[in-house]
Amino acid sequence: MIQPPERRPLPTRLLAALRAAVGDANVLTRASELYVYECDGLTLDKATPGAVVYVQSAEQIQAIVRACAADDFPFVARGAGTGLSGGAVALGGMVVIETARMNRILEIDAENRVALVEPGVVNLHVTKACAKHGLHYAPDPSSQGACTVGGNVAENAGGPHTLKYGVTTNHCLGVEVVLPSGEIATFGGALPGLPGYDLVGLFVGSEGTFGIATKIWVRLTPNPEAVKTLLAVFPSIDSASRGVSAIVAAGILPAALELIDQQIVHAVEAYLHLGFPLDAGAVLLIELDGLRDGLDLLASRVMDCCRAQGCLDVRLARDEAERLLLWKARKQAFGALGRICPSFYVQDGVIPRSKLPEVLAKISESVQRHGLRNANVFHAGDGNLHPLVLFDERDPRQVTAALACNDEILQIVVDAGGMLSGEHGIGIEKLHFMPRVFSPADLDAMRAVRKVFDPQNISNPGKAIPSRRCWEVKGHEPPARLLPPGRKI
Amino acid sequence: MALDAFLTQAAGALGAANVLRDPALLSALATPDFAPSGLCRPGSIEELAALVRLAAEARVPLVPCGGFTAMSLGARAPKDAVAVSLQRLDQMVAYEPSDLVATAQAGMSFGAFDETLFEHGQCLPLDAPGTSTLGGLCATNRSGPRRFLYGTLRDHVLGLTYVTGDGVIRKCGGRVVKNVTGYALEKLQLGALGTLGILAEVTVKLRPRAETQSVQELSAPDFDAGFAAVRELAARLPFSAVAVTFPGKPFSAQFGIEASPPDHARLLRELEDAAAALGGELHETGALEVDADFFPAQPRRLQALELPGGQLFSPVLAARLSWSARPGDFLEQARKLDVLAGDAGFGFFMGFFEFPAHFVAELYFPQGFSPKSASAVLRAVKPAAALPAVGSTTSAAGPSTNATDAASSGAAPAPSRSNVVAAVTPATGAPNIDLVLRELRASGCAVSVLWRAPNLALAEPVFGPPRAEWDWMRKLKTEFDPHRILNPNRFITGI
Repeated sequence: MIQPPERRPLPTRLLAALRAAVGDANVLTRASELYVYECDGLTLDKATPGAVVYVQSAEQIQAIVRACAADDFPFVARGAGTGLSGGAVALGGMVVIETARMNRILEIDAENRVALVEPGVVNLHVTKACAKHGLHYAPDPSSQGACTVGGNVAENAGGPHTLKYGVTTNHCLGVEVVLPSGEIATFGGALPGLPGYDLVGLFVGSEGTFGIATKIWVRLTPNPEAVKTLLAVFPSIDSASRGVSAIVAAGILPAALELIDQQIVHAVEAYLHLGFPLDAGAVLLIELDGLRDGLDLLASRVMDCCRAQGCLDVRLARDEAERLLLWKARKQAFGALGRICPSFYVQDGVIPRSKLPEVLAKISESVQRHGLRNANVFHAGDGNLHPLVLFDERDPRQVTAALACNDEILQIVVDAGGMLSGEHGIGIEKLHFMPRVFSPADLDAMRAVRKVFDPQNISNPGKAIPSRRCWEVKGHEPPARLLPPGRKI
Repeated sequence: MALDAFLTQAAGALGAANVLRDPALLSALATPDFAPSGLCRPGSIEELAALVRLAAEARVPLVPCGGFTAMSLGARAPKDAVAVSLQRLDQMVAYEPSDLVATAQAGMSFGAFDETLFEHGQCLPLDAPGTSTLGGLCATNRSGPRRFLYGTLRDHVLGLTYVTGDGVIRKCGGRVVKNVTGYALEKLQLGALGTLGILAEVTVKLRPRAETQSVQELSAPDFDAGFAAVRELAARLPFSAVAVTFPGKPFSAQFGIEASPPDHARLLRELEDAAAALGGELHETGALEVDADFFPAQPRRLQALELPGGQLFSPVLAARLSWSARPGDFLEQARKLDVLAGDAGFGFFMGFFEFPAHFVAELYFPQGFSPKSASAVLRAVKPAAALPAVGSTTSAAGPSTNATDAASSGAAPAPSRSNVVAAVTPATGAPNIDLVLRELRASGCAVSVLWRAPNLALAEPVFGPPRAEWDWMRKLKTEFDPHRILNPNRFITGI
């Protein structure tokens, strides 16, 4: 069983160094202030930071990291705290380095389609800043109005439109990084295709375990000439997922292909009143983009695929306003769930797209067997599931059941030839499953790489890659959640 | 002798027929870049791992080989190195067309792979010779003009199985199209030239093959106007490849179109309009000839080399695979090229690489090539900021033959007009290539030497002067290959 690391008090010398680096006002240490930082978007795992430090420059981060290294004290970077795998949780009372104030867009080079941004820049702000050039930043997580580019880089974030345009790693050209030693290094840069190993590709998605990005060169993508957004209504989640498999198998590559099931439709409808069909078993939100010439043909092919799988109705967004409303429904789905249940647990497994129907059926069966309800709203075109297990966090039995469901769902994903996470990261919550998809030799290679960059193991330790101990000695047991006293499982 | 003992042990592990030691045969394999002291052909991933373990114990350097189409890439191999041919690891492992994902062994030829995908209307959108292997393509991270639309292997490789320098089989990534489970070690292996591990299996994301494909050539009387029009078109429209061939006559550009019929018609219309506005012409050429083999086919001799158990290598052609044609049309195109082969000459093609203002200039050999001349093939990536500094590139090339003149005259207009880097091939020897490299690098270009003539010694490093981040690459190398037996000293300095 993975034990939460023992809590270390913040050394006095380190606290003094933090204050010296950023000024007293930018170091939070009071319990009431730290409370806000005890978890990220994964609310089941909590740990109170030793301190939270607001930073505004790479040099400040460097000073803090050096001070942490001198005291062998762990640190974790935090953007907007929207992560869903516990990546920003300050296990064992780490120092939280809050980058949200490093929010300058340093350069937009429209001709070369590249922007240089600081890590605290909100994802959507990049798109807004380059909109006048007809460009956008393609990775679009649902939290894009809040989440930061630095956090996106740490988790290799995705989003609906990554189906066609690729995830963060496909749009990240270079990073300036404060390494765990305090050294500032630059990997890659504005120029693609430099000789040498792809350290940028390695850094993106490393969950803060190789250091902290302080500048990021991102690619900007031209806006499509035309967009068509369809809402296809299906009698059941099974028929909708067969529709997805059919579209993929037909060789159609939509910009986005999202599945929203009945539970979510109801929750969203109660909140946004879009006129969604409440009797639908599931709907597909399908976005097609490209040259306007070919879009009608493409749309008719998509409709053919849907109808062949029993689609009841296809609605085309009439105008941009309606299109945005459909996307609002999709992107606020998690929030809308609050109307129908107090807590939910979202998974992020990815499966081969031909296996969607069978895997969704198994997941549903598992959740029901545990006496809970589930909902689905996910990037179906990628095979990137987001099964939501609905429960009440105040009821310990439901928490236990939800966690058991979580493990069953991951196993269903692994059995289908899938992987544990498509865009949320391993963080804390999926660590114990890593040995089921990787051999000890595979994990050893990852640990070796980690050690190259972080020999002291102080950069977000306990995340992303399981320590040797947890799989060798204890096998594949589920983790002890970092729950507050009284709610232990 | 450690080498002899190693080869004897290798013969025990792989079978004597799969370890080539005969000096006469080995000398037939030798190229100026690599003269192997032995050749081993493992028949399974386990045999490959066993072989690497033996080499690690004996400290024998290994040079992984696929289709022998890019052996000239990188610094020259050490004299006592043994070739590891992946030729027998050539099977498709898993292919589920409805997932658009395939896993194949690293020694599978790109041609055979592509043919299987073709039957299902899918493709891996690379520009590569059919004789190259998937493992070799990954190790060299090879891409061609179609990266303009499709990106590179970096955007398509989902997972890898590889053998590290300690002889351990490891996997990274997965078989799904989106994955953040663990570190992206597959990214590290792409373009690493096998220095972090010998690739054994490759899983890639596939693309549907476009219904309508064509290559259109736009010619115009005025270079400046033509070039400006091409830049505008390339920035605005989703062509799959855009290339300007130098020297222009006076201006000529090729456009790859891979699209649905309505989109194809639209793109064609745009080109027709542009041609009309330029007072030029547009015609369909059928095949994009810019994918040139950067690497002249020096192993042509291998065709005749027979080993017990069959032919060692499939015939290596000076392949210019037509990316838009069916695999079956390949030979037809090769024949066409042979017809043209009498006109010796250089040219280079300039691909629009990812951004409209970043260009890659790649020298190629459109119509035959004499490897005797002291030439080099350079790949230069250049930032917009370095633009004005490149002017002297062509003059730096010094005295030249007609062939060089052709390249120079193409390059001359570039610095004043656009962000083009001209890779120049002088015929007067090494100092000039070094000078060109230095000039380009001083101006901020990242320049790699893709190929150089057999007798050409270079003072400048093949992959450029060290950058700060190379220190981290060397540290990673130590973890993956502690005994430094995988392609030692062929990659960036110290690796």
